Amino acid sequence: MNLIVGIMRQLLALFVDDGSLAVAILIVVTLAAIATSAFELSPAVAGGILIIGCILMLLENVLRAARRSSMTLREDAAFRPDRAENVR
Amino acid sequence: MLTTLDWAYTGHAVAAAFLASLVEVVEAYTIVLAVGTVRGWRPAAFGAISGLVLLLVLVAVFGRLLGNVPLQVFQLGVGILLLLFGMRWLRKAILRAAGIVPLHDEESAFAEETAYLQLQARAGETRLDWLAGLAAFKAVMLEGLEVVFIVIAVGSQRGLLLPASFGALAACLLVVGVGVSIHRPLSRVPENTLKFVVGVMLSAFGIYWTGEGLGVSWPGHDLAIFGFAALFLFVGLTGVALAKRNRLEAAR
Repeated sequence: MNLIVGIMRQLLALFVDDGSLAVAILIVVTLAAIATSAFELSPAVAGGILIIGCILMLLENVLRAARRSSMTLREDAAFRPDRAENVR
Repeated sequence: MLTTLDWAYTGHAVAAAFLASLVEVVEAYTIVLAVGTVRGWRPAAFGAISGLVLLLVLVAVFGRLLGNVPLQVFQLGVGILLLLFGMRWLRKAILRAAGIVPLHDEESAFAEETAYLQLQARAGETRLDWLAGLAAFKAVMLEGLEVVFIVIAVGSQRGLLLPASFGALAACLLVVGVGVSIHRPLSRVPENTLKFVVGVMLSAFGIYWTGEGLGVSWPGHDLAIFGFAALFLFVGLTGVALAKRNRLEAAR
């Protein structure tokens, strides 16, 4: 049973690593689909939404991960024992 | 008669299948090597072959089922999965290249798996061979599933399953050939560069097929994939530069 659960979990991990990026991509695809079906915009608009949306979501996600890592670095530096203010 | 455009698309699909398979097979090889080194080659070979057989069964079953899916639904489904898969790889490769996430190290993966198997041996585990075989089976099955998905995704749309499969098979033979001759983890394979390139290629395929599924008629048809690949390459390199700058500023 554990083996099957483990395999299913790894299968999901094939497509979803950072959940927020996967959700963002699905939202972009949904917006592109709505643009053509509900608003009857030209399919070219859907193509534009798809390309620009995916690129923006990727960059936003990478920069957020970088900021998170920077904050951890700053916190580590603030609590370094060799820093003068931490020795006092 | 194949046109230049057909050759370009075929080349892109085969290269994506070959490079992605190279990454996956190297990872599976590391685990099988650890099992073989610690527990002997019988459980390692048994686990690896069982994994391969199960993969072949899955390909046969799902290959037939996929033939019944309406074309546009299939294009959209495969496109979305390629986008999720490709951008996941690209994101990880960007973060690793920027030094935010540590690089994957085959030597340490091998050491970790070896230590785990040796720990079980010291604990007097009686089902050792079975467990070792299971580890090899899982590695081959899970890494192989990724290969199967990529081959089906890039090859099925234009009847290129066979060329894409040959690309993946060539990667398998290369890794197994080199592995058998050096008998060590393949730590010199530039895993992150490969992941970056494959992430770019699969994201480009993903945008193309998702768009086709939504009814978009891309300018230049199949050639648009190369434009998307160039765009994702630029975005990926920009992402690495921005993330690195962010990290350096924080370190000051």
